[in-house]
Amino acid sequence: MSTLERTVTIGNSKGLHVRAATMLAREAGRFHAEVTLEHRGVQANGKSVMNLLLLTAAKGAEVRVRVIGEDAVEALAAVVGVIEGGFGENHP
Amino acid sequence: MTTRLNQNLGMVLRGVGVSPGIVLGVAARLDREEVQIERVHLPTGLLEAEVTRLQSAVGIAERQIDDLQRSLGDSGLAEGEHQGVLSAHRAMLRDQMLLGEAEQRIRTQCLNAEWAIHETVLHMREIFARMEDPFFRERISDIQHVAELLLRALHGETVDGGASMTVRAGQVAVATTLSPADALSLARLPVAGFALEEGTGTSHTAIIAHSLGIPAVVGVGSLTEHVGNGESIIIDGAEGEVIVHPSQDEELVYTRRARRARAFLNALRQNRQLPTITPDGHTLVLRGNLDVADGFARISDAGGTGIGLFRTEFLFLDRPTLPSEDEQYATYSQVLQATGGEPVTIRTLDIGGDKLLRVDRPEAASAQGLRAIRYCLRDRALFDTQLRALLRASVHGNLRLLIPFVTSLSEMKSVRKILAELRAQLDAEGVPMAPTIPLGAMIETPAAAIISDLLAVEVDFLSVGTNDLIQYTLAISREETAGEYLYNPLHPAMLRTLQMVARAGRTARIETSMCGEMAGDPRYVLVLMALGFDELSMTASSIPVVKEIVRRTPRSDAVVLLQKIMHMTSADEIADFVDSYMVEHFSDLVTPRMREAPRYAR
Repeated sequence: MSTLERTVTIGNSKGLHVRAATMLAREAGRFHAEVTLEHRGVQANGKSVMNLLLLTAAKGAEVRVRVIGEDAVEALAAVVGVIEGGFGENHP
Repeated sequence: MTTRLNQNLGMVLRGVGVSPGIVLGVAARLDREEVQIERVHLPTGLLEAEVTRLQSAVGIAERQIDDLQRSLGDSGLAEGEHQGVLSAHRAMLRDQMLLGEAEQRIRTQCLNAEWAIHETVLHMREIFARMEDPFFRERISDIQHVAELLLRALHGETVDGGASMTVRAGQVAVATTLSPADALSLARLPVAGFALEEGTGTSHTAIIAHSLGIPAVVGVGSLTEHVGNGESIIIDGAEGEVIVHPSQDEELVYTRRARRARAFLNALRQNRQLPTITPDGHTLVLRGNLDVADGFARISDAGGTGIGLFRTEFLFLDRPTLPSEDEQYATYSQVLQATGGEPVTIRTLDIGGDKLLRVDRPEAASAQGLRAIRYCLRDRALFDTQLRALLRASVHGNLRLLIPFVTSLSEMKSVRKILAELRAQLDAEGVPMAPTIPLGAMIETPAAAIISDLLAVEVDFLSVGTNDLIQYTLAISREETAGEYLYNPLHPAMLRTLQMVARAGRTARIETSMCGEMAGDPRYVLVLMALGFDELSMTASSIPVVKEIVRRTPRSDAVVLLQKIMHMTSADEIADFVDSYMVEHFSDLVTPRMREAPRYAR
């Protein structure tokens, strides 16, 4: 059982919005590990779209990703990958 | 005339235009009844069965979304942002915050599934209402839509609730609000447009309508109060207007606007990336007019190159102090950098007459005729500041300087002299500048047109401003409605004047351009091309249609047209001839003139 943490910046123009949150939750849902995101003192379950919306993480927001579980390494890489990839949005 | 028009007008309701396009059609009201739910206290023995009932409702809702997505794919609506919304809602059906909480409420509070969902959503609504960012706060609507999907599934209803069954293709869907599923199944019909009482630019119907190119207006207050089922209605998705029960006049006006909007879009699709060149190889340059610092994107999006007229008045008007040299320098630099090396014609301050400064200046008294360059030459502190800012900005792009309201050669000579002085000053200060900056005279008075051969020797280019030139040449005021029939850019006097200016430019081997309203009217483009104008500058929205006409017409045809009208003697005869020629040859691009209609309707 390992705990991993990483801080990432939301870079896509709409921020962690419905579509982005859905992508993130879907990615997090592929792993057993518990995925938590934190932004400005608010914590959210990374597998819940609605919970992620509560972070109100707009473009430029710094988000702390915490992953606990056997497949934590893979889960962290996957979640961070989705965020850093800008959720597949085209950057103008 | 005006009184007749004001009678029996339709009611105009305003909202937010979220997807452009004009529709004249029939309203179809969509009034979905809210799912009626009640609170039931269940005996403990039934709680697990209730949880199972909720879970199977999730399964039903998921299958319904899958069906809807499949049928959208069959209708060719498989791609786009709207599909993302459905997928998101499908994923949210099993969200812990919704399903997990609702299940827990069933078990711990002995609630029925419906009431458990209701309370869960109420709780979430409280949390979302506390959010500061309105963009995220509005997302509660997603959660409500998802909850509604579940409630309808629990009641054995379908996700699109039969919305598409009461509305027919080609009608305008009118509702208080629509769920994404409703909006999508209506788009599949397809409906001709959407008008909603609630919603903003980021609501789902807005996104769906925009991504599918269906005109839509949302946030229209008291819409459902005024629009009945089957009522005739116009929606303008660009302006955000809904006209209920329009008059005949309004129907006419909007039919014409709709035609123009379609012509614009069609032309744009055909030629945005293509050069403005005739089939016989003659090139015309189409540029945009601009009066804000950051509007160039609209011009390049419309397929224009460079800026043919940048008005600087906005920097000076409606403020108690004059803009500093540095402020002006920053604005001019921004505009010059935006075009990526394409020419930017910046016009020096055109103030005086009806445009007055709020700043107290010694010469600012509204002396009749002390306007533009005449005023600037009297207020040297103001003029020098602007010219210094322009000279400094010139290193950032391809600057051309245009002097407005010129009436004599001495004015241009004075400007040259002042520019040389300021250049020497700036040189001494070690400020870098572009080595040469073309200087042009704006031809907008009969005096300037008549001496255009003299001016052409002194300047680097001529630019015709038609709005004032027509007014002064034909001795009419554009504001007088009595003068409507007199306002004719094809009046023989105007044609002869324009011909004279174009010839002067050609003889002196300098560029002749036009930047007035006439340049952007598709009916006049062939005449202007045949007269010998090299460059036309217009509002961005005029560029695609004008370009399309040029691309379809050999210059030799335009010359024949010009020869014909130069032999005609009456202004009306010429206008009628050109109008019918253009409508006949470009029925998809040019809207016929309405001779007796008020100006706004033409």
